[in-house]
Amino acid sequence: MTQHSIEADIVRLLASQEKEAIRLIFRHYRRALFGVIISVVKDEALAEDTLQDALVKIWRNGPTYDPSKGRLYTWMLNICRNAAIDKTRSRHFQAGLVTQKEDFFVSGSNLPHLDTETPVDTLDLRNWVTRLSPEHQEVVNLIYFGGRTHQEASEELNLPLGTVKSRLRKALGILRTWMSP
Amino acid sequence: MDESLNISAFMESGHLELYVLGDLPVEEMESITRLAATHPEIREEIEAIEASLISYAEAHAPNDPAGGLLSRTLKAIDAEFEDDREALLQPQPESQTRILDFRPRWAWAVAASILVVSGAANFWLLSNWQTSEQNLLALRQEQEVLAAQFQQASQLVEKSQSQLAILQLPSTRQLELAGLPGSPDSRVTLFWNPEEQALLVANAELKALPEGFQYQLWAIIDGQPVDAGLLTGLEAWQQMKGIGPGAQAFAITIEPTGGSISPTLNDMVVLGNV
Repeated sequence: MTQHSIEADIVRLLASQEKEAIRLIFRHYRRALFGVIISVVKDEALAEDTLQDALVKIWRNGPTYDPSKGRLYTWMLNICRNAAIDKTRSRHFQAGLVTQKEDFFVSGSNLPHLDTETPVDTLDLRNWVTRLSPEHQEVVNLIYFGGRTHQEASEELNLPLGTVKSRLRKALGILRTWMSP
Repeated sequence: MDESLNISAFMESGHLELYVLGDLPVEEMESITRLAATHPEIREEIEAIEASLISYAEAHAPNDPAGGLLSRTLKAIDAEFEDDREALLQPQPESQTRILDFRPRWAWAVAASILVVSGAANFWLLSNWQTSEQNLLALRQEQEVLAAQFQQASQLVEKSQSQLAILQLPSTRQLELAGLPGSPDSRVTLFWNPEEQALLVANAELKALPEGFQYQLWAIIDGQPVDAGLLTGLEAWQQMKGIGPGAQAFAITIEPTGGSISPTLNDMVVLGNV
């Protein structure tokens, strides 16, 4: 089954609120959505709770997804990201993790829980990411994982808006070329 | 050929990356979705960009989420579904039922009639709105006509007032131009104020002229005819060219339409000395 037809199946199942949609989403996107969430909440157990909440939201809001307005993945990503950002605002999170705040999205080397039990394919992906310069990762992470607008990213990074846009474009272009050798 | 060039330029413009991030205005998002549906190369590029972003996110996951997550999520969905169903099936509290006393069938009938009434109201409002729109248009046109008429009337009043002002001046003289042998019945009354250099034709009893001819007024100064303007038809109260002191006589001749530089003396119809 191609990516295209899996997506079409998920969209159809979501529209009629079939639980099967969540099974398919979990099979094909869990790792990416988990990656997005953990980049925000920085804690594995909390990220799992957040992913569960987000998947229920995806199922609940399934009928409102409109494929003409954007990609399914982007739509799901937004729900996950918002759920993750909401989690970071909760009192529980702020009490326990406030010290990590400064480390948010700083660079690819600041990834959580890199240990010896990490599977090999994960390590390959890690290497793949670290081939992107820290300046590029910083911009991609803020916008893609942090959900910032270009303007907000430019203010947070204290960079001109044009630089943020060109770095983002450059970084996405580099990632894209790595996908098709 | 042109189109394929445009497509590849478009694919390199950076728009598809922003599309995948959902970072474009809604209209642009929709138009790229349409473009992707008709151009497989665009769709493939979008999928490749998305795949690269998915891999990037996956690289940030330390490992797979724990195995029990899917079953926990499905249970949570079941629980929510149950909650919804129970909320739907929950009987109305006793007190409310008594007050409203609606059986579901009644409720449907009421809802349906509200819908019908609301539909009819919408239709009525729409047709009223259309009629109002037409009325408004007619009123606007009418108003434009009235405004133009008012402007004409104002100009006329203004002209009359300035003519009246001339007539009221003590230095304004009334001159009678009498018919010459060729047209003994013709008669023209002029008012002339040499100081104000104002000249009015108050009344023109002249024969109607054939197409291509027009009456022209002349002032005779030092024995020489000076053009004092053309008469537009035979209307009363026509303002002519300004003629200052020194005119000894005024005369009217028949000239080709548009007037002449010097009068056609044979066709002089009226003459009057100052």
